[in-house]
Amino acid sequence: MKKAINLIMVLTVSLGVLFAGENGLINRHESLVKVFFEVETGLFGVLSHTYQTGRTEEGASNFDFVAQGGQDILFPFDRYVAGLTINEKHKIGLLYQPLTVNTDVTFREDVLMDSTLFSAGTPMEIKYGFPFYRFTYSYRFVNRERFQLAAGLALQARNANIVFKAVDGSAMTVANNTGPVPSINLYGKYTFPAGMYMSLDATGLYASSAIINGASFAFEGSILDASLRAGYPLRKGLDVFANLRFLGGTSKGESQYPDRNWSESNERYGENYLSTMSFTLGLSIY
Amino acid sequence: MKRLTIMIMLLSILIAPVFAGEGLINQKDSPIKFRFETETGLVGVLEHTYQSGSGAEGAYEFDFVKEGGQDILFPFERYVAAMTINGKHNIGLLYQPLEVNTNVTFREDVMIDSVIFGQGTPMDIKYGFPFYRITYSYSFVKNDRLELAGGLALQARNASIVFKQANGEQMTVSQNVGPVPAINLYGRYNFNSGLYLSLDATGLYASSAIINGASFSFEGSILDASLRAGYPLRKGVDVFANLRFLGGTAKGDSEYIERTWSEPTQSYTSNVLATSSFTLGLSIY
Repeated sequence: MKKAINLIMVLTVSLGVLFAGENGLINRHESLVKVFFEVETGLFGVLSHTYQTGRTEEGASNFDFVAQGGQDILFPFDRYVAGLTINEKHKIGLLYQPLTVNTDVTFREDVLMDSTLFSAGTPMEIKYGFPFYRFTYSYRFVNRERFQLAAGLALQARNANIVFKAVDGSAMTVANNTGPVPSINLYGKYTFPAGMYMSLDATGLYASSAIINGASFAFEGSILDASLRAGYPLRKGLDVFANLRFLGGTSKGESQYPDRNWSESNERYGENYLSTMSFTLGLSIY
Repeated sequence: MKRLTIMIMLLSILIAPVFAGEGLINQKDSPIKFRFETETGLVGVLEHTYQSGSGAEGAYEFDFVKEGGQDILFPFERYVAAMTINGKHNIGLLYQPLEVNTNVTFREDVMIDSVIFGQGTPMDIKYGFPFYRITYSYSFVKNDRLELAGGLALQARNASIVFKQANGEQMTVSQNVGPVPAINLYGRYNFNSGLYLSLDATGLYASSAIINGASFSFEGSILDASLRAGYPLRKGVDVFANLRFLGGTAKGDSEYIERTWSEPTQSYTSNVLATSSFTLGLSIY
């Protein structure tokens, strides 16, 4: 999928360069609907990450992915956005955030994960997959030449796939989960006379009620995806940028969805606390 | 074909200056016009059951969604290279990658193709069903606003389904290649703004022996139907969003067993798959 998106970006940039004039790279100047694409790539580090499936009093381990699961190095980070603006005021964005970390580690203590015991000394393959897709609508309520402010709503679809697997295949536990996560989006941008701009884009929500987190039962959770960007337009319709991003989320509670699928957790109680920091370079075409 | 399509798209850009001011890759008065498409997005499995072996003999009807880890979203891509002759005759070549690899620990005994995987067994499962398709259609209505076309398609399935115990003790493989004929219908409406909506459906239900490419009775169906909203960024380049249903069924006793070591040992097979995908794409022409 990443290859296809990159291909589309390369094609679009190339096509745009061929046809650029007074217009943007891919949009006509007079068009009410303008399309944009963004791709960024870089690295990210995990600041903290703990995960538990099952109750502590029943022996479940609170697993520290950084200290115990091999997430103590840097990993590649990509992000892809396609969107459109209507009449310079309404912005619709579709985001794809790949986020899968595969690590290898030999456990140094017994770990009980979702009723499965992995003993000390067991070589393990661990997959933490938490890519997500997000649809965002925002309205630009301040739209000056230098300064823009926008706010809106987002709906994120989590697509979790967490696997603890003994390398010899003797034991494995899988936790799959998909579901919607609503959130709020805030955006601000300031453009300097030289053309360089700084922007802040934050999408997040804390929810402890049942309705707002997309479940029919009480489950506490939060997400925050906040990035500080410095960008520069190389030419009309083509920006380069550097991006510093905090991406994190928490979930804690008793799920009422046990045993619907064999790839869901056996245990109802779960906790997941993740915070990451990424640095990327990117390209925006419009 | 994926690499070929990508290469052709890149080459098209290089030759584009030759034709600038007309289409991106086609001359305005050319009787043969080419088009290339790539799209990418995600797919969710609505329903998917699979059985290899007779239920009366203990074969398990395996639910890939509930029991096989296909309960999350997966990446989806599609590549098309096509040509239109005299504005009426359309020929398209499609490559549809479709492979889902999942991990799951079985919570009941499962018998697939005479192999019993016990309850509690960690499993690696591969469901590979990519296909290639050639389609010919004739545009019997084609004006500035509306296009309607119908035609025939021939699809080649390229199935590889593997149930493998994670510790490598047991494994069963079912591979299969074969042609699937189908009917294609296409309709497109262009709005004043340039935005267009199109519906493209290829499908067939067949229960007789001849039409499904086998010499024995085997019931099967396919349906690949997509609703597309597209917008021309400039002449010869469209972006589009696509909502697609892709599914198929197969049920019956095959005579193609144990010809090769990667075919099933059991003659009876049932496979029901229904997916829905959302993609964004680029079309150059």
